Amino acid sequence: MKEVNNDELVGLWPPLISLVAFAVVTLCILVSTGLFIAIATFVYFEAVNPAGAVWGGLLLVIAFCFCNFKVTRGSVRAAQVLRWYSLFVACSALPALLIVENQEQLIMCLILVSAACLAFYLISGKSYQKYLSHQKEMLVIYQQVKQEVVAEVEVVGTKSRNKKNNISGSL
Amino acid sequence: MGAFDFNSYDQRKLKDKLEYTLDQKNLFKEIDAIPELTGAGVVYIDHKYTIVELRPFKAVCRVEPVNVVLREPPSMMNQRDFAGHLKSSQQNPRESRLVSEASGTVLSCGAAVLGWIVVTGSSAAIPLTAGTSTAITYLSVAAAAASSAQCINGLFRTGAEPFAPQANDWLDSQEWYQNITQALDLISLAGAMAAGAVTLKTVKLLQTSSSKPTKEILKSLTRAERTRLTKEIVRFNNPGISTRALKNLMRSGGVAKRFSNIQISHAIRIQLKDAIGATLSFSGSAVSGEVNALAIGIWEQVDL
Repeated sequence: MKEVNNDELVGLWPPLISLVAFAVVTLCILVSTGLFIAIATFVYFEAVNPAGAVWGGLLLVIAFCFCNFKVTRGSVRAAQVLRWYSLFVACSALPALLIVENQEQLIMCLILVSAACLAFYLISGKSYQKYLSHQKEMLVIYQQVKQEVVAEVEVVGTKSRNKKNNISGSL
Repeated sequence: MGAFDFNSYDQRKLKDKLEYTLDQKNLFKEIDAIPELTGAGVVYIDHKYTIVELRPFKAVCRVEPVNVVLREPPSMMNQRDFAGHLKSSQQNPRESRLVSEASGTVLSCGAAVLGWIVVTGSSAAIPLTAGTSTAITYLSVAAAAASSAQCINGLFRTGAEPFAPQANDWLDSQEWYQNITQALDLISLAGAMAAGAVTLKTVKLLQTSSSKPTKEILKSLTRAERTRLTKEIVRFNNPGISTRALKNLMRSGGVAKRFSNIQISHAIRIQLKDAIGATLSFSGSAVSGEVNALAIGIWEQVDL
């Protein structure tokens, strides 16, 4: 593992471009997921009752939030899951482009496919990877500092206890 | 004098015609049997757009007037075209709902993205927010998740409009769906309140640390002020720590001697973003969620 230098100045925020990449990926996945649920429900399953779609959507939201939280903590594996998920959504929506009946539906499908493809492209890009490495580094530095502070506080506490014991012993 | 009391020749003629062709007594009885329409006025429009009032509205069960309108197809329109015309005219209010759904979705999605940016910075803000950022991280994750759920819900509803508009009506009529929307609103509100509280706490901390106005504190701090602020922050992080122990910690490099202006400004910016993000989320729900249900309650709307 790379040695972390405490004296090195690391910005609190990742570089702006990589933060924008993360924000755009988040938005694209949200857009593609929301529209995918609608299209899957009404085009593929032709469901009349959308209750199943709501519960399915809730499960997807929970899974997405878990993965995205892991991404904010620098997890490459979570980013890969989101990457392949967006590709899956884009591919799954392609047949709907041929099935839809009117222009409004076609526009919805095109937005879905575009958002999913953009998310896939951005996650594979350098900016997003830079974001991941920055977040990972931030987490490592924070953990290291936390451990050091705890150790120092313990040392100070032990010293003051010893001093108290010495004073009470001399009395 | 009622709204339809002025009787033209055509109106009198139409009324006479309806005396024979329409069993008005039975019709009124059937209408009054519906609790929501008891005492409703009955209006008839013929194919030449002649309007007659068969019965005026009586405020029996409600104060707001309600009318049952019976309308013949216009003379230049066959039944099929008339049905199509009525269907499209009924769909017109849905267009305004589509705009409403879309605007609510934009707000929720904006709040969700902002929420995730706050989650990104929340770990970095922990040393600067007196440890409260750890709790705030969980709250901001919950608020971001709730906003994400609202965003996906809004997108689903917007996406459902061109495919199955009746699905949204069905969802709106379900209690469990309203409860879920309410829960999401509450989580977003909790995030907003927590973010607001921590922002106030941090601003107060900054004000106690310096005599300068908050705006100036955010822009620039002297070295002495920065050191004082750092001490305050570390004390907040370790409530039981003594001044001597604090100095020892600083000397040993266990804690930072001072945070840079950029670090402090960033930490406050994170909290401000959190507050704005959660507020946006609340606005998003106000357009399409629980708060909207309260606004709808003020209007009396009758779907016939």
